[in-house]
Amino acid sequence: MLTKFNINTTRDLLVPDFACYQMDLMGPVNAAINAGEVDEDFSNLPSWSKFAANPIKSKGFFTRTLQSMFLGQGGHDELNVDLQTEDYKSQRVGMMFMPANTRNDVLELIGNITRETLPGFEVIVLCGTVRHNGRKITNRNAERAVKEIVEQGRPTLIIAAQMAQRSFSVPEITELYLAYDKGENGATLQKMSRTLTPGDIGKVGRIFSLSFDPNRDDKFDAMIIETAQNLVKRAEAKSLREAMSNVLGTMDIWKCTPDGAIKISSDDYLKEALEVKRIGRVLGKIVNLNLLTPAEVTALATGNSQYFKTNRVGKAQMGKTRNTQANGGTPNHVNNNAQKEIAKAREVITSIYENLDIIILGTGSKIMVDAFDQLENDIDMQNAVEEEFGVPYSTIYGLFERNVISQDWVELLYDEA
Amino acid sequence: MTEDKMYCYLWEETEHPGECKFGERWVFAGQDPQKEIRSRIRASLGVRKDIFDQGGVRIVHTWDVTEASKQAGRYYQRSRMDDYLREFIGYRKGSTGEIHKLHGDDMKLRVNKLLATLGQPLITAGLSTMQYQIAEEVIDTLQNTSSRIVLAELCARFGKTIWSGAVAVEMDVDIVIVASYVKTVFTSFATDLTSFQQFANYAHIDTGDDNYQEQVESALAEGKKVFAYLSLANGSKRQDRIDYLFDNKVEKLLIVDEADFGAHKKQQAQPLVDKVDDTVYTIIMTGTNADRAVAHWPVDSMVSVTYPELLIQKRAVENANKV
Repeated sequence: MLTKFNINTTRDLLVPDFACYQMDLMGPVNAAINAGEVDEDFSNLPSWSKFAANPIKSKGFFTRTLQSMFLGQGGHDELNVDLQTEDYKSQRVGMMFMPANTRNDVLELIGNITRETLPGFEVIVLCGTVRHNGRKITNRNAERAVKEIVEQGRPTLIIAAQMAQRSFSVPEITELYLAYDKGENGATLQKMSRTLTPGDIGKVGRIFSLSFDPNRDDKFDAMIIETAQNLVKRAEAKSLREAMSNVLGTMDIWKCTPDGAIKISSDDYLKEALEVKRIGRVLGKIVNLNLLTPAEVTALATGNSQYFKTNRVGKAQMGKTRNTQANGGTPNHVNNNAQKEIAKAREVITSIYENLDIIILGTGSKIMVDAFDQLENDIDMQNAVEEEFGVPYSTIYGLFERNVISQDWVELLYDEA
Repeated sequence: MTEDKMYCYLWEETEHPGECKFGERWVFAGQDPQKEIRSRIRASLGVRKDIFDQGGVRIVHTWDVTEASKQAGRYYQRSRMDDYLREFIGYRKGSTGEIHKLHGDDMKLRVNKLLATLGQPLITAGLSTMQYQIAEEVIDTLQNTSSRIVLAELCARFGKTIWSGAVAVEMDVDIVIVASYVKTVFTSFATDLTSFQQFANYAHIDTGDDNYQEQVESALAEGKKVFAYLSLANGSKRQDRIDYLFDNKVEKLLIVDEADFGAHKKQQAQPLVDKVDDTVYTIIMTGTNADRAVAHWPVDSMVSVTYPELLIQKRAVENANKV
């Protein structure tokens, strides 16, 4: 118990609500393809990274998307923001994050296309080559530049890629558009937070994931899953299923349809996420690698199959997530290589999460613990597992035993399968 | 409010952030101080009330200075309590003006410090429910387990500054070292914390000052505790500052803020890691990118709060209020 501070519950009320919207872009994509407005590469497999590589080649898709979203034109009501949110504002202030690797000149080009398409909007591009009132835009003055423009009272769309992800607080921003395909979880959270600066009473920050394949889009998943884990850890929910239900009861996730947004229930969310194995991918992204020693992370990343065999049972000393002495390069090289190692280790864990059903089905078990019991004494099956996963059985069991592979999640994902 | 109160207020035009206006308002019992102050500021703009109406005015802070005004014999309407205080502050625009040539946050910090020395009780900081719970958890971990280094991954709007300050106060350590690669962190800490009574006995010292050692020693000698702000930018004096702050027997709390930004690199983190011993508790604070934040730290424990958790708590309070 704290002795000098008390709880003031009015502070609990200060955080703005938020709602997440899943938008499927294929309507304007198909329309642009049929009209011959995009190049063949984009037509075959549309993506934000292709758009950001050369917006001119897929300009038709982007202009149609903007018109649908903000002007209600083109017959793609599933993208009509007013219809989906049922909230019409005279001054809309939105922020759109393009892929992080979008070059500055390309970002400016995207800004120009947006201005042409939305003549009633103030469009401001946040990158180092753009000037506002004679000054180059920087991380330091971006907030001020945007506030000056917002004060003019017109609908405003802010376009950014790298800049303004942190220390950028504009209360008037109520809509946040994520216009990229895959993103690092932390960066996505930073971007989403730009619409969570407290503003008017009753403010709702609305976050839109603009996706070419909503079924595989996991931008909202990490936050949901991490929250559920925290609730279980703090004993505020008895099971992950209950925790997921609590989370989804608080933060609304909407699927955008031509008839308006439909709220996704926790059962539907779980079912959908399980069907396409989205959860495994997210769990790999957010797994707590602090539970492993640097050497273990390296072993996972480099596929050192012997490591976990020889270090199987003993609980490792928890510590650094990477071995900074592993490489002989400059400090920057160390950083980069270690980051790659962590990313690779996460990929391995994702793969294990996604394919654990092989072990359950292969052993004819109903729950994972029984499956491991069977495997324990069956060398042939252990070899088969190693062949299938690319990592030895002992590694998988070791990760499971030490809860790096969360036993709660495995139970939820597979035990009822 | 059952008695008349003397308030001071500080505002600045968003267009002119280098200058600020410090004034006073006598608030009668039963009146809403914030409403009265807003009304006074708006009225003072004369024919340019549009600046206020269009959001061109930022009210930096308001203070209840009733106790200080009583002690100064100025507890009455139009007593010029603001002038009395501004004499201590300086930086006036012109010799008699009410404008100060300071950034609003800087002025706020100076007024906070002045009121603390004049014995004016400041407002008491309260914590949100999540802040309180996580503070308890981290203090328990640091003081009652073998863990000395905690990673705190705390989402946007959690209120990391006041939270980590509260942890420092509750742990009652003599020196709190706030280290960051992002310099605005230090302004944020100093201006936020000095507004509250719980931090009245703390000196806030920028180790970039030439005489920072003297300031630290003088504060400790006066029985105060210290928030020492340490920039992790790799300058020629950084190691000296680190050596001075850490090479002593005093119990310390190290708070690394924005740990995933700049501070995550080896050349920034390692000099601190090398100093961590039994006299140092450490909180690595980050909003996201926990992997990166602790890249070079032997972290023992971790706490995490996500934004939906704040919303779940908000709903709980809303429901309780309905009942």
